[in-house]
Order: sequence, then C-alpha cells, then structure tokens
Amino acid sequence: MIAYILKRLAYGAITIWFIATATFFSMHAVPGDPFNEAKAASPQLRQNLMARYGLDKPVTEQYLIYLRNMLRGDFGISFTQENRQVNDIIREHFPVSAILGVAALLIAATGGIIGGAVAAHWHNRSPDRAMMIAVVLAISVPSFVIAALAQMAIVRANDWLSFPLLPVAGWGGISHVWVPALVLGLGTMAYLARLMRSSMLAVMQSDYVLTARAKGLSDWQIFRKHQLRNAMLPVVTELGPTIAAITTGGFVVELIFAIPGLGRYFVQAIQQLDYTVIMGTTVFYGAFLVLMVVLIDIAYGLIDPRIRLHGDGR
Amino acid sequence: MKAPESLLSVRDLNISLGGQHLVRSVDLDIEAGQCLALVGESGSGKSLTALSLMRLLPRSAKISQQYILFEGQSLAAYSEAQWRQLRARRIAMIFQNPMTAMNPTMRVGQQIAEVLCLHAGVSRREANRQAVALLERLGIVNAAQKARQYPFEMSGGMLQRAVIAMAIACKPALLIADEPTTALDATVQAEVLVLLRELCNEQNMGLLLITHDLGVVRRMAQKVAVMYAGKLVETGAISRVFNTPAHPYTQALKQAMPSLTEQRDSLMAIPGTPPDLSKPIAGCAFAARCPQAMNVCARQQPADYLTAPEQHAKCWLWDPARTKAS
Amino acid sequence: MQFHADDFNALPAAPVEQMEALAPAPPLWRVLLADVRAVVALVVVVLLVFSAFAGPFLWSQDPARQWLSQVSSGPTTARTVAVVEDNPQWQGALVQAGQLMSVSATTTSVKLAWPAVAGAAGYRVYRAEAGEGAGLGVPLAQIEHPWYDDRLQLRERAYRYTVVPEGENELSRRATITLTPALTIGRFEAQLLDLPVHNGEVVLPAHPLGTDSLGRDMLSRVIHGARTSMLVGLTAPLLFITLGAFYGAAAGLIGGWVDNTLMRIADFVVALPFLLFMILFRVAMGIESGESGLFPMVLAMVLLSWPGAARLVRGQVLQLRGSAFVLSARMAGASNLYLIRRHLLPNVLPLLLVSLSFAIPQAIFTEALLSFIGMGVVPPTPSWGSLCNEGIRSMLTHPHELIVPAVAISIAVLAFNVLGDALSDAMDVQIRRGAQ
Ligand SMILES: Nc1ncnc2c1ncn2[C@@H]1O[C@H](COP(=O)(O)OP(=O)(O)OP(=O)(O)O)[C@@H](O)[C@H]1O
Ligand SMILES: [Mg+2]
Repeated sequence: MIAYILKRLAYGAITIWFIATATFFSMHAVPGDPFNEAKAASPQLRQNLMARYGLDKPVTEQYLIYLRNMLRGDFGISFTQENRQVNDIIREHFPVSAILGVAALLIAATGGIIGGAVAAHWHNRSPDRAMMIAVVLAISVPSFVIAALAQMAIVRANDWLSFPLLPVAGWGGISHVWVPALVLGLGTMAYLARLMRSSMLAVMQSDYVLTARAKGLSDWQIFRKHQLRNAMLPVVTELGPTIAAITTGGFVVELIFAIPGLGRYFVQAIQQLDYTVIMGTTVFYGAFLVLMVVLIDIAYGLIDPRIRLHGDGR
Repeated sequence: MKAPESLLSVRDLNISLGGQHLVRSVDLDIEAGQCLALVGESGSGKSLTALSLMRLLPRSAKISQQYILFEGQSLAAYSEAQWRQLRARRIAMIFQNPMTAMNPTMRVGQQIAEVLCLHAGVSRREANRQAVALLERLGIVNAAQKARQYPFEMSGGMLQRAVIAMAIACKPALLIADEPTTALDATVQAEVLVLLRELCNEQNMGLLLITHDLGVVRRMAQKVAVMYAGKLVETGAISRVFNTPAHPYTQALKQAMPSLTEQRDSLMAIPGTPPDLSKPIAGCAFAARCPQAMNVCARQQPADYLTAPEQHAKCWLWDPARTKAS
Repeated sequence: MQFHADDFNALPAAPVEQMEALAPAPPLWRVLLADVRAVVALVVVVLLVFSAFAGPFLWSQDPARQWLSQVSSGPTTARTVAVVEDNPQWQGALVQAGQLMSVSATTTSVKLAWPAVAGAAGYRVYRAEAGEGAGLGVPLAQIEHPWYDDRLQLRERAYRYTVVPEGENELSRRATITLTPALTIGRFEAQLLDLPVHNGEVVLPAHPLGTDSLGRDMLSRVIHGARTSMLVGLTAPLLFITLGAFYGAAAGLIGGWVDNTLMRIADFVVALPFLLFMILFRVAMGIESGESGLFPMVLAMVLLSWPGAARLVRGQVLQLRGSAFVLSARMAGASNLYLIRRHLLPNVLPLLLVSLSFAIPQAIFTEALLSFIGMGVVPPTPSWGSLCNEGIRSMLTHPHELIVPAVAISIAVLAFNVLGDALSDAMDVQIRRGAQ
C-alpha cells in the first residue's frame, strides 16, 4: 500500500511538472509582448515593467526561476493589479470555489449513488425509466442553461411569494450555496447515476449476490453488505474526472450566479490578459486536480482490497 | 444402517424463463444421508433445477410443480420470509464457480461468519471463531490467518473449501453441490469429494450432486438422474444405470467414454446439438440425435417406463406395444 | 394409447436444422435500424446536419439584419405594415380639456399630449407594460411642455402611460392612458433595410422563432449558429479520433519502448485539465477576448482529446496481435496490410464509431460553453453558445432568446447521445451473437 501511494504521488508530481511546463511555454508562445501601448506609454516604462516581471532574461532562465518559484508556492504578481500577489488572489477566492465545489460534489455523489441504486433495483420498471429519462435530459442540457433557468425560477418564485425565498445571486450564507451547487452537480449526478446503475446491475447479476441470497440474507442486508461497496467501485474511479468537470463547470456557475470564486476570477483574468494570474491559476488548478486524482486513487485502494494489498490490481 | 428417510421430493417441476421451457416435468427424490447425482450436458437445466429448490431463480422465471415436500412440509406456499429461514439453515448450496461465488471485497472469514450470525444467532466474535473452526475442519492450515484474507488472495481449492464452509456452517439437512469440483485440480477434487461424503455420513445430510463427471458420480452417489434438454430421461440406482443404461442418451454417454474408471471424461462427445426450447417439442427431445429413433419419437412424448427394479427411463423403446409389435 | 402401424419403424434421418443457431451475426446497421430510438436519433442527426449546411438556403434571412421595429418580439408571421414619416420635430397638439390624450400610437413613436396644468413646473412621463403590476414603470422624461413623443424601443404590446405634474399634489393630478401601438416602420428604417415600399406599406418577413434583443431573426441565427456548432462538433471529433487511432495503432504495432513512451505521453495529455488548456491555447495563439477563435478551439480540442481513441485502438491491436487466428494467418503468409484491413479495421471501426458519437455531443457542449463565457465564438458570429450568451441577458423579460438556442443544443446533444447509446447496445448484441 505504501509503495502504491508513493508511486501515485510520484506520478502526480511529474504530471504537475508537465502541466507547469506546458503552461509556461504556451504563455511564452503568445505573439507580441504583454505590454501594449496602453500599459507602457514610454519605452523606459516598458523596460522597467519587463524587468519587474523578469521578462528581460533569456527564456530558459525565466523557466528555471518560474519552476523555483512554483516549488516555493509563489506565483508572482498580477499584471493588471500591480500590488496584488497571485497567491493572495488564490487564497482569497479559492475557498469560495472550494465550498461550492465540495457542496456540488456531495450532492452529485449522494444523488448519483442513490439514484443509480434505485434505478437498478427497479430495473426496467417505472422508477428506472423515469430516472433514465431524467438522466438523459440532465446530460443533454448545458450547465449554463440549467443555471439560467434555475435563476429564472428563483426570481419567479420570489416574485410569486412576494418575499425572497432564496437569493438570486451573490455569496454569503448557506442559502447562497444551495442552488448553484445543485446546478453545478446536476450533470455529474446524472452521469454518476448512470454509472452506478449499470455497475449495480452487473453486481446484481453476480454469483456472490446469489450466494448471499442462498445464505438467507434479506434484500436490504444484501444491498448493504454485498452490493453497495462493489457497485461503488467504478463510481469512485470516476470521481477524478468528475472533480475536474465540477471545477471547470464552476467557472460558468460562478459567472452566472455572481459568486466571487477563483473560476470567475480566472475568466476575468483571461479577458484582461493578466498573464501571471492565468499561469498561476492554471497551474494551481492543474495541481489541485492532479492531487485530487491521486487522493481518489488512494481512496480507491482503501475500498478495494485487491489494490490495497497488491499495489496494482487494476 | 437405518432405512433411508425421504428428505425432499418434488413432482412435475416446470421452469420457464424468457419464453423457453427450460425444465420440463422433473421428479426428484432425495433421501437423508444419501447422494443423488444429477448429470447432463451443459445447458440442460441442472443449475436451474437446483436453484428452484431454494427459490433462487431469477425474478422473471416462471415455476410450477405438483408438489414440493421437504422434511414432510410442503414448501409450495412458502413466503419469501419463510424461504429465507430455510436457506442456509436447512437447505444450502455450493455454487458452480468458487472464484465468483464469494464477495471480492469482503474477508473470507467474515463471509462465513455472516451465515452463522444470521441463523445461529451468535455474536460476531463467536461467529468468527466458529468460521475459523470450520475452515480448520475442512483441512485448511493456518485457518485463523486465512480467514482474514480476501478471496483474490486464495487458491481455487482453498476458495472452494471456504464456499463449502459457508454452505455447511448451519448443518443443513440438504446440500446442493453444483459442480463442486470442476474448478479444482485432481488431488483437491478428491479431497473435496471425501469431505462431502463424510458430511453425508456424519450429519445424515442429503446431497444433490450436479456434475459432468461420471467418475465422480460413480464414487459418490447411490442414485443418478440423467437430464437432457430439461427433462430427466433416466433415473435409477448407480449400478443399474451404469451397467445397463436404458435410454439411448445414457447409452451414448456410456459409449462416449471408453472406461468409467478413467476420470474427466466430458459428456460432449455425442454428435448434434440439443433442441431449441423456445418452441414446443412434440415428441422426444432426443429423437433428432437418437440412433434408434422411431416414427413415434418425433410425434409423441414418451411416458416413464420402469425398465428394471430401481430404474426408470422415458423412451418409447420400452413401450410394451413396441415389444409386442416386433 | 393408439399406435399406427409404422410408429415403431426407424425415423428417417432429420435434416440438420440445428446449425441455424450458428448463423452469422446480423450486420451492425441492421441491428441498429431495428431499434426505434436509434432510428429517431439518426433522423434528428441527419436533419440537424442538413439544416446546418442547407438551412441558410432554405431560410434566407440575414442573421445580422436588425429589425428595429421588431426588437425582442415573439414568433410572428409575414405582415404588411405602414411606413410612417420620421418626424422628430413634433411640437405637440393643443389639447383643450379632459384627460391624457394619445395623438398617435405606432411602434415608431407614441405621441402623447395633455392639457397644461396651471402652476406645474413640469411633467414627468412614465411608461409601464400593462399587466406588470400597479407601479408607474420606467421614467421616460422630465419635460416642461405638455406633450411627449416616446420613441424608446416600442413594441407591439399594451403600455400604460402616466403623466405626473411636478410641484403639485402628485397623486391627485396624475393622468393615465393604456394603449397598444400599431406595428409600423419608419421611412428611414425601411430605407436602411432596403424594403420596397408600395402605397406607403412594406412587407415585413415572418420570424417563426421571434427576434432577439437587437431585432435579428432568431431562426436564421439558430441556423447559422448550427453551422458553427456542427462545424466544431463534427470536425474536431473526426480529427482527434483519426489522430488517436493512428497514434494508438502505431504504438500497438511497433510495441516495445516506443509503445511505452507513446502511451506515457498519452497519460500526461489526459492529465491536463481540459478546459483550462483550451482557454490557454487560445490566449497563447494571441486571440484577444472579443475575437472569434474557431480554429484555435478546434486545434485545442484535437491536441487534448486524442488519447481516448489512441488507447482504444492500441488495446485492440494488442489483443489481435496476441490472438491465435492472427498468428496462424501470419504463418500462412498474410501481410501486415492484409491483417489490418481484414482483422483490425472490422474490429476497431465500430468502436471508433461509438466513441465518435459520444465525442460529438461533448464537442458541441465544449464549444457552447466556451462561446458562452466569451472564449470561443463571440457575439457577431452566431453559434449556439454565443446565442445563449446573448439570450441570458434578457432572460427575465424575453426568455425565448435563451430558450431557443438552448433547446437547439439540447436536441443535438440528446440525439447524438442516444445514437451513441443505441450504437453501443447494438454492438453488444452483435458481440453476444458472435460469441455463441
Ligand atoms: N437467467 C437466465 N436467463 C435466460 N436463460 C437462462 C438463464 N439462466 C439459464 N438460462 C438458460 O437455461 C438453460 C439451462 O441452464 P442451466 O444453467 O440450468 O444449465 P446447466 O445444466 O447447469 O449447464 P452447465 O453444465 O453449463 O452448468 C440454458 O440454456 C441457459 O441458456
Ligand atoms: Mg450449471
């Protein structure tokens, strides 16, 4: 198990390095230079700015400095807000995104697992059919449309009740988290429900469930003791891509619901071509996602004894 | 030796599934302490018959029987809750493939203890202790440590013993063993068979042994039932059926293997394929492959004929009318 | 029981009909066409692709043309409307007594006049959409003379105007009128749009899906949007699946350390956060926000999405390389090319088809998402995502501007997803039959 964890971590570290390098060189491929006339009125000012951001050095040296700073967890200073550290921006805005993301993930995972199990249990009967139609719809409607419709629904509901049931946008208390998290988690929930359903169906057909029945266990006992854990294994492996989907989906939801998260900030940074912020957030998000995948791999190992005991059972 | 008492008897058992009439009018009688072997080609319906004796058929299966008597009780009207009380406690089953019959993410000891917790009402600790004891009894060395392992860490033989331990944990009156030895190599196979034999004798347990292996049948069983396309074509005492097979199918089986003492002969060596069970079969299901088929065989189902003491066959060859005609 | 004389004679040998069970599995398309949802999805897909490419010829309205007189209107049919003079120098009409008066009400201008109130310092004019509660609505103007000419985005619907004299007891003296302007078009607009005028009237074309907040025809925008979305949605997956297939085949066929290295690279590419790098590529190519970047979007999708297909094909190649029949065919002297054509392609193509039908909706989604956040196709060019982006601004007042493109995306994604599902189900059927 230790070897397995170390291997995953090492692999994760290499991936993060790869992401950082890819980011650095894509940003350096940008034609022209980052200081246009608007920002640097005179050549002298431009020189100073170049020096301040270390852009006057040769690319290889810049790359090494960049890697060293990354290792220290220093992402540099914002281009557009010159007195702001990228680190501060991340520190300020990421927790908001994280709260939203975790809430969305919890909603998606519980909803998906329960929904999939319910559909499998009533396989080919009305609950299953209804669930599958809902899943197909949820997968087919883009998240930003769902977000917009949800917002519209809140406005209408508030109007109709003539007191604010839920806030339409913004960030603050628990009431601000609910709807955006649900919207953000909906697509993932549908995807996980579908996955859970098919893995549950496979488990239900398996010999060991028949054995469990032959032991005289009740349906509920069989579900709890034998089916749930096994059926969840493929769902857990999919949580990695799921977290990535929720993270990037957060950009849009934050934008629509005016939530001051890192995603919204990232989109703004791109619109303003704030290079350090773009690089910093990309690498930060990349590292975060890789870390999540590693953590999920480890969690998977804990659930599946085949991996826990043998390192590479997959 | 006391006279064998009837443990289970089923009359006119029919199972259909997905529009196919897969088990057709089967009669079974098993006595306590005795072993009945059920043989037949792959797909002939042996496993379905066995599953029906524990009401473990898929939900979509349709089952009917004239009666099913177990330990003097009729099980026909049993509710699911009553069946649950019966399973593992009175009737237990060893499944075909030990590799897939165990939950891959649960420790072997726990899986055995689970049965004991449920039916013997003992504490989890006590159940674990008994599970280890069972494994020890089945000849597993270092059982305490093995009980903490997961199925994928064990060899096939070991797993099969664990599966058997699970089945006999509650000392059932009837044990159904569905090809308990096909997954095992010859030496382990012999050990498992000896073990099953001992259980029959010690606990006066009835055994329904499903197998492809006629060698195994000969060593284990007192009676044998030969199944073809969902029907029992011949039943009877081992010595009768083996020495003077009455049904052409059994005869072909016997011919397909040069010597009964030789192990691991399959039943596959008869030319042709079994009939399609999704359509009704007018006559004898074996007629198309039967070397001695007669016109009547294609038209009408044969009745059950007593061909010798303790031997029945469903074949027109044994019809008195034919004996007269020839 | 009654027996016939020949009952116990030997049965004539039966024809060997049991071999029917081993008949070859039906072709994939046959299985697919037996599936109702597959047929429906296929029809929808064909219609979508067709309308994306032939649509502009069938519905020839210019998606950029602005019908100022019909801003944010719901579905309309073609109609004849009067051309009115643009006369901003209206000085009001003298109104003797009584209530607020409407002199004329068209969608070009609503002319209001009312009797002067002695001692009033001025008047405030408000407009509310009728049926929107009891409030005064939007303040339109604060004026000194007793007349007003409203030219503010008038639509063909009921308005309630209120005039409140200033410096007076406002509640007691205010006057209200409810009216519905008739649809007209200003002479200037008619000239701008190049509409032929007959007897002071012009024919306005139908807008079956209404117009957007700039008065552009939604149907034609959705059709032109489909072109963009389908272009991205079809080309990118086709390209990256082809690229991946060749890459995977190369890795699988060469094997050894080359295979190892190639697949390691694939692993890393998979680990890149997709959307972030899509955006990054766009920035790296020097496309400012507000510029359309169709090509970088396709390029980024291709560069980031090929590993899936590569893994799939490599897996198949390895499986085939190990299989007995390829070994025996090789021994019999079959060439590599023959093996690829005869054994690899038939196995791999259906699998690639399934991944394609799942990759297409994914690409449509990605395009829509990027365009929505302004990182893909940006407003002047219509794409479903950018249409949604525009629609969301007027979502509360004119929801159809968001819903129309959103429904288009959903139908397309749904159709491709269902098709993919049906395709993989059909393949399962085939594999099961084939295995028998
Ligand atoms: N769940 C099921 N759904 C549909 N058909 C089934 C199902 N289970 C079994 N069958 C069919 O029932 C027939 C008998 O199956 P069964 O498992 O009883 O055969 P068997 O005699 O045990 O064969 P084997 O020796 O291979 O175990 C087979 O033709 C099989 O295809
Ligand atoms: Mg079987």
